Amino acid sequence: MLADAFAAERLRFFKARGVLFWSLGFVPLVSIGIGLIQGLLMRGLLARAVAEGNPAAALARQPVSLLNQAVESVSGSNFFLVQLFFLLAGSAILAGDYRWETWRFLTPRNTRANLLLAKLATFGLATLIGLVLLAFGGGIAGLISAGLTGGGVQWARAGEYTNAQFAGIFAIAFLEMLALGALAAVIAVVTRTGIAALLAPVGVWIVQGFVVSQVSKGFPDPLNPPLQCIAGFPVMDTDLLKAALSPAQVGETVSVNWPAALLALLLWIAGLTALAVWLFRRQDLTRE
Amino acid sequence: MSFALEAAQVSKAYGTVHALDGLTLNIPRGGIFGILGPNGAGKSTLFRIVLGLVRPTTGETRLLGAPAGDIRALRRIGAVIETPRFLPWLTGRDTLRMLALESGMKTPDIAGWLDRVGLTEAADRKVNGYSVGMKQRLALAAALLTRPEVLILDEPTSGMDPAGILEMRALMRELADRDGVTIILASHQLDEVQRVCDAVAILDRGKLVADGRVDTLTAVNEQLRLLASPLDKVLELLGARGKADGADAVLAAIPRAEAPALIAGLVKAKIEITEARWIGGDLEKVFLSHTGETDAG
Repeated sequence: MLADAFAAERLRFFKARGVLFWSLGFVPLVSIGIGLIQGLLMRGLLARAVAEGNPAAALARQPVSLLNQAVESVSGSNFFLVQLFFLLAGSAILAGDYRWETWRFLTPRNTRANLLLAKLATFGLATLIGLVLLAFGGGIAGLISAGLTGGGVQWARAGEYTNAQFAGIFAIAFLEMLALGALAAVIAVVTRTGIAALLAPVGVWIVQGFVVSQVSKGFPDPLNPPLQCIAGFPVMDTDLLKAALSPAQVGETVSVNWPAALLALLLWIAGLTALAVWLFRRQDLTRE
Repeated sequence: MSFALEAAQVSKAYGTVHALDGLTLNIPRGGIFGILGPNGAGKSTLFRIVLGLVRPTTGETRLLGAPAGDIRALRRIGAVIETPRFLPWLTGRDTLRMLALESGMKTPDIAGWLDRVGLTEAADRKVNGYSVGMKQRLALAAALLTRPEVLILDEPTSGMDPAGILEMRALMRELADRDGVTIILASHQLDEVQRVCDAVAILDRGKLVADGRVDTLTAVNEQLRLLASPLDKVLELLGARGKADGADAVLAAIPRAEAPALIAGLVKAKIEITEARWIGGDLEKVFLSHTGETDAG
């Protein structure tokens, strides 16, 4: 039954070409464009530095690490503008049936829990695709930059991100998007509007980020904050998880309480999902 | 007797507005059952409760013997309620594919249903280019896709052209008579209801005010119009049950069963009858007498 709802939800999402482009395709294209502009600027600067006999020119011609490029792109998914583009898909999936008044055709065909869980699963799939495209976009931007500056290309550079760390960063970005999606689901059900499902989660994340930055200033060890903070701020959880995977932490003795952060983030996703389903099951669909 | 739909003391309040007020109604399986009522009578609310879209404030509804909202029972019905809405970027065919997937159907006869509702040519056009009538047809195909035992239709012919209305009536009759589908139909078009429905219920302000077979309900308002002479003799024989209708006709307020005996009596009394026909037995009068409406809206 959930598989049926998921198949139906996938069909309708992947037919919405406008939403697909803006939510998943636009940001990677922009990152490629930025890579191109950066490469052109860098080439101009290098040409001038070489002409002036500046030794910095040789340093700047370091080979580009594709893995680093991909990690930076995927890490950038927590930037609020990128989140907004991802949530274009989220609001279309989660609040679309309120907007188009189509719940009346769906609720007699599957359970409400399955319908909403299928929407979240589809958003998860969209997020997965979006992050893969972001990583590819970062890699292509790196290739363009390398081609323009003549710096050459490497998969990974020594002392920087490894494949395993990239997988970890990717998973954290995915989980953070899922948490945003689950929050968007709650907001979509409560408000029945797509614009609220689009903007409110990003607003909550921005406020959280600000609060976490202020609160963290008072901690003696910012990488091991009190458990109540880990439990209360998903943004802090993703920061901690990323810190645990950063190259600076590898081989160092400084520890990060990543298991608590991971558990808290997973609980946030599960809790928000359960809340959205509970609210939706009790909701009167008088006017969708 | 098994029922398609049962409502027991169902009430639904939106704030201070009572959309349904202690409604009790049992709709038997088989045939076409009409639900009539002025705007705000509670027809759509009843359908939304039955489909599990809204929950009643009090009371209980059952669909095919199962509590309202039971997904196993819901998958045995098809419904078109209020103005059909669809995702505008999907084609008609994709819309049906999506709904078939949602219902867990492995081999839906999408082309067959598109053909049956006359949408084959428009099947691969996006729904946002469809007319209201075409959307109604698509909604009907969507409702029929799962081969339902019960079909709930709310104003199914609104927006349709006359030819489409005739096709829809024929399809409803065919579904009920040939396929054994129970059809529950809400409509403002009383002549349509009278033509296609076997039985009706009339709702007003959330309450049931009348129900029964169409022929039984309309018989109450029927009168036998006789063109006869001499008129005064006819009026004398009918007594309080007769009244003059112009210079050469009489209206006789009698049950249909008594008509043969009356006519036989008039002939025996040497009264010349040139025409006898039933008039006024329409649902509109029944509707207006129960709802106090001035118009069948």
